[in-house]
Order: sequence, then structure tokens, then C-alpha cells
Amino acid sequence: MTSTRPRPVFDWLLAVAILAVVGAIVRIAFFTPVELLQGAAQKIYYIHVPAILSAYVALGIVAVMSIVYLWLHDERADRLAESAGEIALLFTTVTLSTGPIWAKPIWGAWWTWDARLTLTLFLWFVTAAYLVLRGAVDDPLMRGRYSAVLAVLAVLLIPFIHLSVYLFRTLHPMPIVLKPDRPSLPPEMLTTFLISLAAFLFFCIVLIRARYRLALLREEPVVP
Amino acid sequence: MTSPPDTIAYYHAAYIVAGALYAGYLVSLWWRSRRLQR
Repeated sequence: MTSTRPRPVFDWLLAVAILAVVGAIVRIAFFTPVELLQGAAQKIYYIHVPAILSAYVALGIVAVMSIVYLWLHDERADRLAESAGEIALLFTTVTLSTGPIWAKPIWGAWWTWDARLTLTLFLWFVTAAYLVLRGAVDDPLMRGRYSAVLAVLAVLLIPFIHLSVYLFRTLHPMPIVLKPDRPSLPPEMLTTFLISLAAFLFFCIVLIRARYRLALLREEPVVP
Repeated sequence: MTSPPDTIAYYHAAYIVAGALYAGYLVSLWWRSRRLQR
């Protein structure tokens, strides 16, 4: 019987991704102007928005892999869906943590039950429920099938969250980059945002890869 | 000309919280992989 040594969870690509995030933060801190109306708190934008967009990408991977699993019953798709689900929860947690800290000085309140915030909190609960469900079902076939259905339903929330600022009266600002018109950020700020978005998306994908390797490690026998 | 409001404490707090969450997750990955490799 041949056996392959499991690939390491932490490797050079993860180190590169962490360096990319650190580089983006250096640019945000030292090479990006302070906004006149909000002051330094506006710089929370550069981690808050990339965090939720990364969460959307991770949840998109969960949904696509769940559909692949329901169709082909391929364990690799289920494993990748689980990995991306955990990372989606991490990035949604960052979004829901940084948002109130930004809201307090600008809106005068940590939280408001408006559509955008409430739907994002609901997405967090559904993502957490996805992971709890996976932990609660022992049979791999049932676990994969039930969680895949929940994941596909959870992803349907994303368009509602994005469009909620158009559909409902809300305190949350309209999109200033992801909108039909041109972005309304000044060029320096837009460049910083795009660098930060690229760094966090890269970090998100590399984290999913690391988490996938952890899942492999859990299933494969270790070669001494 | 007006100067921006002093909101630097919120800026620092948000980055510290985000950093702690990401670092915490990396530590959890490391801990779980270490436990599985034993």
C-alpha cells in the first residue's frame, strides 16, 4: 500500500498572503489620506468592505461545491464546501465586528436594526448553523446532503443584502465602488481600496486552501 | 478650513479587533493541525 505524506497546513503561500495583508495595512495607515468628514474612522472601510466581499466569495464557493456534491457525490467538493464555510464565518464575523466600531462615531450608535445590518447578522447565523449542522450529523452522506441544501439557500441571501440599501430605507451608505456608475472614491482612496480588496481576497482563498488541507489531515493516516 | 474629527481611537480599535480575529483563526488552524499530527 502506498501512502503520501499530508501537505502542510501552513506553507509559503500563507506567509505570502499574510505579507500581502500587512502591506495593504501599511498603505492604508501611512500612504492614504484621512477623509475630512469622518476622520481616521473612515479607514475602517478598507478592511470592512473587503471582509464582506471575501465572505461572499467564500460563500459562493460553498454554494458551488455544495451543488457539485449534490450532483456528483464527490467527497472533495463536500470537504471544500466545509472549508470555505468556516472561512466565510470568519470574514462575516470581522465585518460584523468592525461595522459597529465604524458606526458609533458616524451614526452615534453601535447598531441599528436596519435591513443591511440585520440581513448580514442573519447570514452570520445561517453560516454558523451550516457548520453546527455539519458537526451534529455523523453519517457523512446525510451530513453532506443536508448541509449542501442549507448552503445553497444561505447564498440566496447575498443579493438581498447587497440590494437592501436600494430596497429599504436604511442608515447604511449606498455602495460607492460596486455600483452601476463609476466609483465615487477619490483616486488615491480607490487605489488603496483595490489593493486591500486584492490582498484580503488572496488571504481568503489561501485560508480556504489551508483549511482544506486540515480537513485532509483529519481524514488521512499520518505517515511517520 | 475645518480639520477632520478625532475618530482615531475607533480606527485603531477596529484594526485591533480584526487583527485579533484573523490571528485567532490562524492560531486555531495551527492548534488543530498540531493536534492531528500527534
